[in-house]
Order: sequence, then structure tokens, then C-alpha cells
Amino acid sequence: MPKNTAYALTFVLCLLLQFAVAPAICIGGIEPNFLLIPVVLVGLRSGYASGSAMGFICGLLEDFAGSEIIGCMALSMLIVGLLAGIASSVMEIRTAPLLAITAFVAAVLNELAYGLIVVLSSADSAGVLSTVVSYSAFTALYTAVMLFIALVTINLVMHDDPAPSTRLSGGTSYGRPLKLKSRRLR
Amino acid sequence: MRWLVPVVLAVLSIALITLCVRMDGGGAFSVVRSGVQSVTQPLEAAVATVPNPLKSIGQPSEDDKTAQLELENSQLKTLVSQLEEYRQQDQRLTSLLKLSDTYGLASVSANVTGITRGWNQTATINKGSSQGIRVGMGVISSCGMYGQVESVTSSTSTVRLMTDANSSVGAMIQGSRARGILSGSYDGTLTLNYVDISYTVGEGDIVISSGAGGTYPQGIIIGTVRNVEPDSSKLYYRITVDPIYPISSCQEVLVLTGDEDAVATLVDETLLDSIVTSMTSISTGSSTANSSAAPSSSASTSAQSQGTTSAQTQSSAGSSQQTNQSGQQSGQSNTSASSGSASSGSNGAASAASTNRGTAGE
Repeated sequence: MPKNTAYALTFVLCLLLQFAVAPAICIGGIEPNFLLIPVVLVGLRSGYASGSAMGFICGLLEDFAGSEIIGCMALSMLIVGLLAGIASSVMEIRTAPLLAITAFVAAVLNELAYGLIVVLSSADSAGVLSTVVSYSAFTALYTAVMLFIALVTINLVMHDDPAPSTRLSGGTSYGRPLKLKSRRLR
Repeated sequence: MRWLVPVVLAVLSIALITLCVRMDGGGAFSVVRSGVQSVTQPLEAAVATVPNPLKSIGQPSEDDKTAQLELENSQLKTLVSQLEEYRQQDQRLTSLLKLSDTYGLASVSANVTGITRGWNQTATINKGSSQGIRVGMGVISSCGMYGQVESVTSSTSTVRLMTDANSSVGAMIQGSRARGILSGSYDGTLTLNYVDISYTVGEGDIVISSGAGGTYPQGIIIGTVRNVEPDSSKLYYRITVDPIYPISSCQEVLVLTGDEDAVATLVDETLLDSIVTSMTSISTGSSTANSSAAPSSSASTSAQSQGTTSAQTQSSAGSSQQTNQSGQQSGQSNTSASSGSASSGSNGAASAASTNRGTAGE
């Protein structure tokens, strides 16, 4: 399947999942964040610039759909997309264990970043720790499971990506490699 | 130049956050948000009709006898505190005949279709602007205060729960009438701040809305005092309040759509001060008529309140307020007032009151 088609399909499907299905499958008031799927996917496959752009768009949509301060989720998902892109430029993330670790780290990072941004942008920080423990941890776990399943499934469908080693040579359309990667190669 | 993309987007995000905080989420943000939610919330509402067996995980089971008893207990506590509030209100009204119309508020009943917790504690209800709901309106449940309307689409609304960290409301201690500002937190703890330290506040005291701000009428039950301690300035108390009921268990709510003038009357500081003064004079004046009338008044109110509570929010119809002004001169006036609900078979409003002033006046 062409990469852009897969991205578009994933994005639309995750939008529907997030706004229609997620509230219906919440467990004890905790629902997964399906919009993290296209963010991590694009970050892993198209680099940090595309990943951060996708993160910003998805986060902004989630901000407007909710009732929290606009921009908080956009910034946190931007960070996740950025780091996913950087991680993919450092190593090939295709195997199930690596995808599982990526999913977990991305979900935890998103929750922590979001929580931190919300707290920094509001006057009152009472109850933050207990919220992180009781809410963010479970949300991250729930999201990580969904993210891992989605990434593995998409990985099976999309075969047309060149190996990261090809990308490291800098001769593909997947974006210029990071300085970090260049240094590692030397 | 690809590195510019995340940098620009990050700056844009921070700018959005800053603007949103400065504009308090209003202006263009609310317009866009309303547009997005008018698309997403019908989707959510459509899927919400499918039963979700996972939803009850982590929440008390309805079949659990203990949970039912706790719920019943909390409702009874609510009722008792309401009765006490109505008894005090009755005394005030006896002395302040001008205050014949305290709760002149219309309401719309709605069902909670979804609730979120954590960083953003909100609930989605199945009524919107087409039913007269507007941003900023207060929401109460059969058990007490619930929250405030945050955003509205044509058919749904988002309610920011009173336990949310960004929520604050004027509140006071029922017994001492000490007023302060009640704020939520990320973990759902309620804190009553800025209560003058000269007042006497004890654990277990009932906390009710003060009417300040105009969102809620005075007397809506909020919770009980769990802990009292002076704040850092040593001028005010910092009071931890336990909600009188688990807010997530409420399925039916009332949106106070009503008469803003009536609410404005409640926030008239002069009027409130006169109420407090009157209360003081009543308590020191040893009016035997009032004190003897109180139980019968409470009993009358109890019957009415139980009736409305058992009705359990069947309709929004009423929003009515029945005031028999003609009976005032003969001492037989019968005032039926409601903070947003009709007394005639409408919702089991937390603050539905029926006060027999005639009895108190005898």
C-alpha cells in the first residue's frame, strides 16, 4: 500500500476511533488515545519533521474536541512525533519488541508531557501526583496496548519502506538524516 | 531546514496556549471548538447507545448492596442538609417578606452521556443550545451541585465538573454562613479557600453554594467539611471538603437555564448581608413562634422533597415557580420555590423547596 494512502487511512480511522469509539470502550472513565497512532507511525516512517507536524495536527484536533486549554495536547503530541522521528533515524524500529517499547514510551511520554503542560499552564497544581498515578498511568497503559497492536498491524500492511540503513546514506525521499545519526556513522 | 518545522509548530503551540489562557477559552477558540464538537459529539452520542460492559470496571457495582446503601445514605444526608437549609431559609423568609422569590430559576433536565476524569474532568450531556442551554450555566444533580456548562453544540453540552482543577464557585458553611471560594483539583479534592478565620468551622459541617457569582442559587448542597486548617497567611481557613456523593454516579442533571435577574438578586451583597443580620436577630431574639414552627415546616418540606426526590428527574417540564402571594397578608402564604426545577412533578432537584410560610408565621 502506498505510504501516503496508508497515512491518510490511518488518520481518518483513528479520528473515528478517537471521537466515536474511545468513549464507548473506556474502562473506569479511562479511554485510550487513538490519535497517537498516526503520530508515531508517521514519525517512525517519515522522520521527525513529518512526525511533529502530524502530532501538532492530531493534538490540535483533540484540543478542540475536548474542553482543556487549546494547544496543550498539540504540543505534547508534537513532542512525541518529534522523538519518534529521531528514534527512527537512530535505529530501525520494525520488530515486535521494539515496537512494543516504542508504543509504551510514546504513550507514557505523551501523558507526562501533557500533564506537565497542563499543570504549567494552570494556576493550581494540587493533586497532580495522584492524578498522574491514578489516571495518566492507566491511560498510558491502555494507549500503549492499542498503539502496539496498531503499529504491528500497519507494519504488516506497509512493506514499501526502504530499510533505515538506506535512509542513513541520505539518498532517499524520507528526509535528511539528523546530525546525531551522521555523527554515529562516522 | 526541516528542523524548523517542529520549532515553528512548538512556538505556535505555546502561542495558542498563551492566547487560550489569556482569552479564557473564549472568542475565536470557542467558535472553532464548538464547530469541531458539533462534528465529534454526535459521533460519540451515536456509539454511546451501544452498551459498554467495560465502563463499570473500577466503579462501584449497582448490584452491590453496600454501594446501594452508601448511595442511599448520601442521598439521605443530602436530604437532611437540605431540610436544615430550608428550615433556616424559612426563618429568614419569615423576617424578610421581601425575599419571597429566592429561587426563581428555570431549568432543563438532561442525561449524562459521557464523563471524563483526570486532567480534564468533564461530562457530556444530551441537551444543547437548541434546548436553551448556554455556556456558563450552572448544572445540579439530584444529589447537589454538579458543574458548569463549558461548551455547547446544538444537541449536546460539555459540563466542567465542580471537582475539576479549573473549577471554582462561591460556597459557604451552612451553619456559620462563613463564605469562601470552593475550588476543585486534579485528583477531585474540593477545597474551600478564603474563609475568614474568625468564623467557627468544624469537621462534618455542611458546605453549600453561597450564590456569589450568579451561576448557582444559594443553598445547593456541595459536601461536608473533612479538614480545617489555616492557610499560609493565617487570615483564612483552607478547608478540605468531601463531596456529598460520588459525582461520577450521577446520570441525570438539571441545567439552570433560568432567569438571570433572579440569580443577580441572590448575589446582591446588601440583600445577603441583610439575610445574615436577620438570621442573627432571629437566633438571639428567641422567637418561640419561629422555633416551634421550624419542625412542622421541615416536615412539610420533607414530604415535598421526598416526593420530588423519588420522582428522579422525569421531565424538565416545569421550571416553574409557584408563589402564592395572596396568602401573605393572612399568614397562609405557601411558597413553592425551586432552584431550577419545577415543584410540580418535575425533577428531583437538589434544592427543590416547598416552604410553608404560613405555618412559620403563626
